[in-house]
This record gives sequence, structure tokens and C-alpha cells, in this order.
Amino acid sequence: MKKKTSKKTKQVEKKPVSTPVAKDYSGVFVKLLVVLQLLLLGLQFSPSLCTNGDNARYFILGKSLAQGSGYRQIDQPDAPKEKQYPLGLPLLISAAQKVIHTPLGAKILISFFGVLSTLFCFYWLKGSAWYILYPVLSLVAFSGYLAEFNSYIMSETPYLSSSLLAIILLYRSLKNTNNRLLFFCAIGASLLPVNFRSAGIAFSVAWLVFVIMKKQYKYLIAHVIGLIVTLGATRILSGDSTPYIVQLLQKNSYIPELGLVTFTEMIQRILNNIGTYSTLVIGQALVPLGNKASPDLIRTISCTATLLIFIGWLSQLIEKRWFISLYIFFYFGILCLWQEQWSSTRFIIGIIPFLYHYLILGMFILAQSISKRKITLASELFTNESKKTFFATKTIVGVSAILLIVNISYQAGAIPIRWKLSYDWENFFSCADWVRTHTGKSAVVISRKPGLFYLRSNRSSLIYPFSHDVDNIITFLRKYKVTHVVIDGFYWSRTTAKYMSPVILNHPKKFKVVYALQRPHTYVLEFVDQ
Amino acid sequence: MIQPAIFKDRWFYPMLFLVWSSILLVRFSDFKYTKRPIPPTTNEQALQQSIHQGTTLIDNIRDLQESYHREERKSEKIHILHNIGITYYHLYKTRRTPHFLDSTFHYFVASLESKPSIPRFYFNMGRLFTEKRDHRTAQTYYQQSIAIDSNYLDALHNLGTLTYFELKKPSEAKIYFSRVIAIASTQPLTSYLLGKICLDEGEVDRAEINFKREIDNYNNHRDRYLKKQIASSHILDLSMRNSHLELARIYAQRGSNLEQMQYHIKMYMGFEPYPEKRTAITKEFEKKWNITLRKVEKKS
Repeated sequence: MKKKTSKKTKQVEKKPVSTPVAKDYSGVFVKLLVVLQLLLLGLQFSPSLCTNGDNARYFILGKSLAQGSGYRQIDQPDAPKEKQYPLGLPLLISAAQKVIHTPLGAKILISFFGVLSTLFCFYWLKGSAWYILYPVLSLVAFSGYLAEFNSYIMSETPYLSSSLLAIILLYRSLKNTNNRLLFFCAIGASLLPVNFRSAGIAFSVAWLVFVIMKKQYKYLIAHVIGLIVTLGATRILSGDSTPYIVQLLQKNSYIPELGLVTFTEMIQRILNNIGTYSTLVIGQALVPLGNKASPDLIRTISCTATLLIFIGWLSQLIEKRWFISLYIFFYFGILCLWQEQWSSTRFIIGIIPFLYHYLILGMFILAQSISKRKITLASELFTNESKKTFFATKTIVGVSAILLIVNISYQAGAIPIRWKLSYDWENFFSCADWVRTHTGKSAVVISRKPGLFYLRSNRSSLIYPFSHDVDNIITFLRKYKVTHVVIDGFYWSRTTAKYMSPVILNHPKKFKVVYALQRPHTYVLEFVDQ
Repeated sequence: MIQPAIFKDRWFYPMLFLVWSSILLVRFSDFKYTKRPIPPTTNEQALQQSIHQGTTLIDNIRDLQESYHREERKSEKIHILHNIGITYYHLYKTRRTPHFLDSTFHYFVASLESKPSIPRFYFNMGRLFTEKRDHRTAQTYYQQSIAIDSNYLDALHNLGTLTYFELKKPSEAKIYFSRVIAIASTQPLTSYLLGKICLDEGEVDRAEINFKREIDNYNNHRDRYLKKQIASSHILDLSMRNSHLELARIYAQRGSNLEQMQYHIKMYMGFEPYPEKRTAITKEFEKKWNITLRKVEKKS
């Protein structure tokens, strides 16, 4: 008997029973996603800078570092030290500028970070269920707003990819605590977010709280040392600057004379920001319907999305997945404390993958709880899947498909737009071209968008003070030896008309029209101070 | 199944991105960030609708009124009030509708009562009363603005022209113009007017210096911006050509520097747009000094 049994065992060993193991197609899926993402990105790609002032600022700082002028605003007449933007992105841009002088190189670099975000997202979610992994990955790869920022020279995309990298490395390092290389890589990556964006302080705080909770003190010490070194280096390069905590407490940083907020005002600000983000911004960022959608629809979508995200976040917290839950909590904490005029979709870009993840999770939990109670018959009729997940997974697939269509449509709609400038911008840039070709190198120009004007005109540029005191502005013009003033016809801003027109009307003899364009009226005036 | 090396992540993604970036670099190889400026408009009508004119001013008033309601700082609110006033003033100058002048007055008074220490507020009040042809009150306001800021150039200049043309007090105007010249010798028109007063008072040498300065200023201005300037400046042209004429008269009177006289009269004739004036001057020179002027065509 024994012999017979052993023979049988040998036979089993020789011919193992082929168990139906589900094949993992996620690797192929992500490759396909990246190819499609790059295709869409390529179609939308414009070699010019976008009209956002920050993108010019980053490019100028990169230029300053590349030409060895230090960390300075070289577009201004006295080239003051930069005191606001973290050093990370300008350093990268300076490297790109060493190779290609135009914005093209820097823009390709940012797109590279955009692709990395999708890849890192994949590595972060790799172990998750298919109904979480595939929808989240697809949404991240085709997110309309992410795609938009993937082609802007802005810090959002590098910030996102670096924070995802830091999360992946932290988890891996915690699994292999003896691996020194992983440890140093994790620490290095953890320092990137705060050096790309000041809001990255939320990431650092989450990191510190998390490692204390896990009693991993070497991660705590290494991160703190890293922070001191990197932020200290920035401080040395920047000189004295207004700390962000002051900006956080100011009523309005554009008008510092208004002073600091009171406790009641701060509470009011937090409530207002919660309202803005939950009823508008989150919805706009995740489901970009554009300007044509009715405000009620956007509000409904945004409130629903916020509720689902909250459910998803809470579920992760209950499951003790601390790090990302803490990070998102601190990140939103900063957003709510921030001055109300800065509440916008831009601040959501850096956490979009996490929000999509929570949204899908929230949807899953909600759908699952509904299916438990009501829809059991359907699952029995149409599938052998678990009754619990049938309805939930199908809901996720359905909703994700709709979200994908909306996001891809948003990108498709942007293809012809991103190539074109509106007439007000065309005239503004033509003024810069005129200044470049008709004035001496020492010309100093006042305009609404000094960074963009400088890059196009190659002449020192400044923005006028936001003051209604005409004498104050005249003193400013004299102080910086301003030679020209650009009166723009911007559709989106009336500040030039508000602040500069009274100056010209008060001193008509001091301003002579030297270049004029129509539709909309845009002028270059020479400032002739006696 | 063996996966080809190219499909392994470490090869696939870098290669893919390399191909993508190369395509972009080739596609935009001739890209230049800067361009040629769009040809400027020289259309007079378009320039008429410029920042000083029409609907733009009404939009500005609306913006400022909105800012006034939003603004929390008291001092800024006062400046906004005054700026609304100055915009109404220019609106009046464009449309000549009297109620715009009343609005100007209302806003100027409001700002002046709230902050009586700003010289600009008095200066603009002076401009308003000049427009109302109430020259005595205008003079008082200009003087008040100079009392606060003794170097207020525009107020001194306006006070000088007001005293000279409207109040007919050339000796008093001379003091104001001299102060303007002392502060900024390049101020257009002032040297010409000062020269004219000096000439009337018999100070021929001083008048000569002033006329010459006016011409120099014009030439400097022309070099600096008139060549590029789209809108012409009639006052600058007028003071320049009249300075040439006065210098020609001085040299003709002296009878010693006829070459210079010929030069200046030639310049005058070249810039004078009205033929009847040119004829009158020719006759004047023939009659007074028996000088026959060569026919000079008006410069284009």
C-alpha cells in the first residue's frame, strides 16, 4: 500500500494540476495607458509658455541659475533675490536650459514628470483589486487638469510624482528596514515635495507623524536633518523672506497693510474654503466639464464627489492606512487655512490620484452597502461573482467610464485652444516684441505680467503697485527709472485700468503713445519724466 | 512566454519617452519664442478711443466705483474718490457734457475734505476751475498745491500759463516759469513763454536763451520719442516753430547775424502749416527790415 501511495505521489509531483491562476495584465495595461497619455499630451503640446505668471517666474529663476546669476528675479531692474518659490523646480529647469534655451526643453521635462506620475501611481496601487487599480490608473493618465499641468512649467506635476515616489519608497523601505539604499532613497524622495512646493510641508508633517506612530525614529531624524539642510540652503540663497506662516495669517498678501486675520476671521476663512472646495473646486478638478456646464450641475457633482472622497478617506483611516490619510488631512488643512483668493483647482492637482483613489473607494463602499440590502437578484441572475462586489464593481466601471469620457473630451477640446492666444494676449505679446525691437537694453517696462513680458521683450519688467495713490505710483516709476508703460486690454483683469489709467489721466503730458494696437486697445506709452 | 527586452519596463519607458521627446524636438525645431510685432494702428479714430477717451473712461469709472465699495483702507478710498473725479474730468473734456464737470467737482470735494494734505487734489481742483473759466479760484487752488509742495512742477506750470494768458499778469507768470525752469529746464512750452515775456520786457538776450532752449528741448524730445510717437503734439510743434520765428525776429532786428536769421525763418516756414501765416510773416520781414525771404515749402 505504502509503495502504491508513494508512486501516486510521485506521479502528482511530475504532473502538477494546472490551477486557473488569473493572468496579471496590469503591466501591459499601464504601458498602453502611458502610450495613449503621451499621444494625447503630444497633440496638446505647445512649445510656448502658457499665460500663467508663475510659469514665467519658474522659467526666469531657472534662467538665472543657468546663467550663474544666483537665485534671483533677473527680470526686475535690481534683480532682487527670490524669496517665495522653493528651489527644486528652478534647479531642474536650469538643467534643461543648459541644453535647450527656449521653454521647449523645460516643458518636455515637466511632461516627463507627468508620465512618471502615472507610473508611480501604478507601483503604488499594484497590489490593489482590479476594480480599484484600473479605474484609478486610467483616470490619472487621462485626467484633464493633470494633462493641462503636464505641459505647463509649473511645480504641480513634479510635486505629484515626487510625493508618489516617496510613498512607494517609504512602504518598501519599511518592509526591508535593513536595506540602507532603500532607506536613503526614501529619505531623499521625502524631501522633494517640500522643495517643489511650499504646500509640501503637509507631506513632511504627515511623514513625521507617521514615522513617530510607527516608532521608526531613524526616518524621523533623517527627514528632519534633510529638511534643515535643504530649506537652509534655500534660505541662504533667498536671503530674508516673509515666512509662509505670516502669509497664512495675513488677510491679503497683496495688501499687507490690512494686517493679520483675527480668530473669528480665520474660522470664517476655513468655513469659506471648505465651502469652495467641496461645492466647486473638487468637482471641477475631477470632472472637468468646462465653462459651459451649469453651476448647479457642477455643485451637485462636487458635493457628491466630496462625500465619496470623505467615505473613501474614512475607510482608509479605519483600516489604519495612516500615511496617505494623514497627508491628505494635512494638505486640506493648509488649503483651508490659505487665503480665499487662492482657492482653485490648481492646488488640487498635487493630490488628484489620491482623490480619485478615495472617490473609487467611496463609490465601492457605498455601492456595496446598497447592494447588500437591495440588489441581490441581479447578481444571482447575471454573474457568479460575489454578491457583495457585483453591483459595486459594475458601478465603479460605469462611473469611471463616464469620468474618463469627460476628461478625454476636456483634453480633446483643449487641443486647438492651447495653440492659440486670445487677442488680448496677442496684443500684449506684440507690445513686448515692439519693445524688444524699438528700445535700448536699459529700458524698464511696467506691465500687468512682468515675467512673461520680460521673457518676450528681453527688457527689465515690473508690475505697477496696486495702489490708487497716483503720487505713490509716480514715485515708483521714478525709483525704478521706468521708461515705458504697457496699457493692456486684458479681458480677464481690469487692474491696469484701475491703477494706471488715473496716473495717465493725472499726468497726460508725461505719457506719450509710441505703439498702439486695436481690438482690444493696447498701448505702449513712453514715460517722459521731466 | 519570453518577453522581448524592449518590453521590459526599464527599457520600454525610457525608450518611449525618448521617441516622444525626439518627435517634439523635430516638430518644433524651427520654433522661436519671439516674433515680429504686429504693425501698429495709425488710425486717428482708433487713437481717439484710447485710454483718455469715450467708453474706456466710463468703464474706468465703473471699475473704480466697484473698487471703492470693496476697499477697506480709508486712505485708498480717498484716492479712489479722487481718481473717479479725474476720470469724470477727462470724460467732460471728451464729450463736453456739463454734468460730468459737476460729478468731477463732487468727487474732488469729497476727496479734498477727507484728506486736505495732498497737493495733487488741489492741483486737479485748479484744473477743474480753469475748465469752468473761474480763473481766480483756479489760481487759489494751484497756489494751495504749491504751498504744500513748492516743487510741484505741473502746478507751477499751470499757474504760470493761467497767470500769463488768463489773468494777464506776465511779470507774475515770469516768476512761476522761472521756477519751473529751475526745477526742470526741459519742460516743454515754458521756455518759449518765458522768452516771450522777457522779449516783451526788453530782456532780449534772456529771451534769446529761452527760445534756444525751447528749440533744443524740442529736438531732444523729437530724438527721444517724437519719431516713434504716433499721436502728434500740437503744443510742442507750436512752441518750437514760434521760438524759431522769435529768434529770426531778434536776429533781423539786430541786423548782425543774418545767416542765423535765415536759418530760423526757414525752419519756421518749414513747420508752419498755414500758408496765410507764412505770407504774413514774409510781408512783415519785407516791411520792417527790408528782407526778402526765399520761398520755403512746408515740410511734410
